[in-house]
Amino acid sequence: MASSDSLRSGSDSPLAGIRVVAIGAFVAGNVCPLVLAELGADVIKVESLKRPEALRSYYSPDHPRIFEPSGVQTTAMFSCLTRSMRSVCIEVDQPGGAATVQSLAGCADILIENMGPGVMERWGCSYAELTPSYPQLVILSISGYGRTGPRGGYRAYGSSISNYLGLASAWAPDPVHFDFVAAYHGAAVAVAAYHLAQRTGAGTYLDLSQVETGTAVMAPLYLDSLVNNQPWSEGPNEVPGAVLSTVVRCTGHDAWAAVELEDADDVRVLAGVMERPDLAPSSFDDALRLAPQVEEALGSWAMSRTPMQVSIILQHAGLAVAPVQSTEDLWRDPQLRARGAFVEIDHPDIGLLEQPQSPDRMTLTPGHVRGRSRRLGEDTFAVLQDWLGLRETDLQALRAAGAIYQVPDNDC
Amino acid sequence: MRVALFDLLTTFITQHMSTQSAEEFVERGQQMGLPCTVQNRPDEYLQDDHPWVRGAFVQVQSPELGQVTLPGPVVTTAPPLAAYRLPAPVLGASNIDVYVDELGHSPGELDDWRERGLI
Repeated sequence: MASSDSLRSGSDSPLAGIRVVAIGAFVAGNVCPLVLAELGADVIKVESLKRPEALRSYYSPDHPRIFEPSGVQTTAMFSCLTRSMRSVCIEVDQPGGAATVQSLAGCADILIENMGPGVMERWGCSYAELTPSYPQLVILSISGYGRTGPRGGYRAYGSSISNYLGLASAWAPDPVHFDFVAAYHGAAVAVAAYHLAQRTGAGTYLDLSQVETGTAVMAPLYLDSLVNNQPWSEGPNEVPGAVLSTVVRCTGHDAWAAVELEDADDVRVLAGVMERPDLAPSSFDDALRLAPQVEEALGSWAMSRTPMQVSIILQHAGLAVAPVQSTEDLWRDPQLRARGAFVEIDHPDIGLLEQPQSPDRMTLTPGHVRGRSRRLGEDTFAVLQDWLGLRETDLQALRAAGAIYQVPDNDC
Repeated sequence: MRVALFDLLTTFITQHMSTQSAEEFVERGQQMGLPCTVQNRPDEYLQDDHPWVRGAFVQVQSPELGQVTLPGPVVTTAPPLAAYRLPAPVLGASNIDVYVDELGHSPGELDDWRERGLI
């Protein structure tokens, strides 16, 4: 398993040599630096022993309570979202703590944070405070609503954004969807700003709002209102512009397949597969006219087949059809297995678990899991020596002041 | 504890919320540090001031549609970096820019390709 030293260097990975300080929590604050770490960046996650990251205590009844030797709790979810990074434990409210965080930020290329309003200012780590000393630093600030505007001071979780943007009305109250959306947008803009800093010497403050990244990916739901002044119409399974988009019941308990027919050609293909030439349209308008009958016929045809049978038969005919899968189905899915979408990771406290592999599949330098999630403070000494050049006496002084915590060697 | 008290809490919260609008409840909750929000439909979200004040939407001059409003850049930066640049291109709108100005082909070649149905 990866050591602190091997996590430091991503060797020939795309982002090797880039240093990232992650002061984040929950999904967006961890996934964004995770993306950079698994592309080779040296990412350090700054945490407190007194106030550990919230994800560590996201207990669910089907998971046992798991504790690290330090007594801090951990979970499978925390382990999954903080892997491939190094862990540095700093108590900001202790003497030397805030200065240590500021010094780490000064050694970094990118600082990522998603703390509540005012926290970075209290730590002396806001853009205004850091940029005079570190002009090339890129700061990515991820928040629910952005740091300005009428709701700029609001607190939010992913589910808040889902409800605020209207996704919960159109789809379902997904608690984390917009965390991931913001995380990937954040990784992209942070790398862009890093390259700008390399070219010009000037850093950037990136105020990334989950509302705005969510707006971007939900644009099709807003366009009819924005462009045509039409009220939004409820139709959760309807894809705008498609002749027919629906889910059909299949053989099996709560078994469904999702079907989208874009144009008259698609409907003609389906009519051929179902041996219903009477449902083959002559034009797009004819396809729209026939759509209710096509949906009824498709429902009857699918009832005697499983979702996978419906999907395979219609995919072979050239139609965009998918089985509606549960998480168990996804875990078994032969396509994901064949693509290497899961990787086994052994953790000293959690045990052996399968986790999603990095989805960034560049041919020569694919993103990949570089190491298990570290225990809280497992890399504190190594990072402070490596990044800040602190000596053993400096480290012991900070530790004696309660400003840092390092996992004892025999607990690593 | 919250799961065990679900029904009781639901009763209290329902009574409490019946005395005020959702927006009032959210505003007071946020002031107390509660991460609550109004539940919007997609078109109701578009009526909220916040994204407009933040510049989340831009006015765009479309060749076909005239002036339309679309989602803008996904990040606000200091200094400003991301900006709306161009409308969606009309099919083939950049042929001359790319084939002639960037790749060095002549306008005559483009005419020939067009006649042969290549572009």
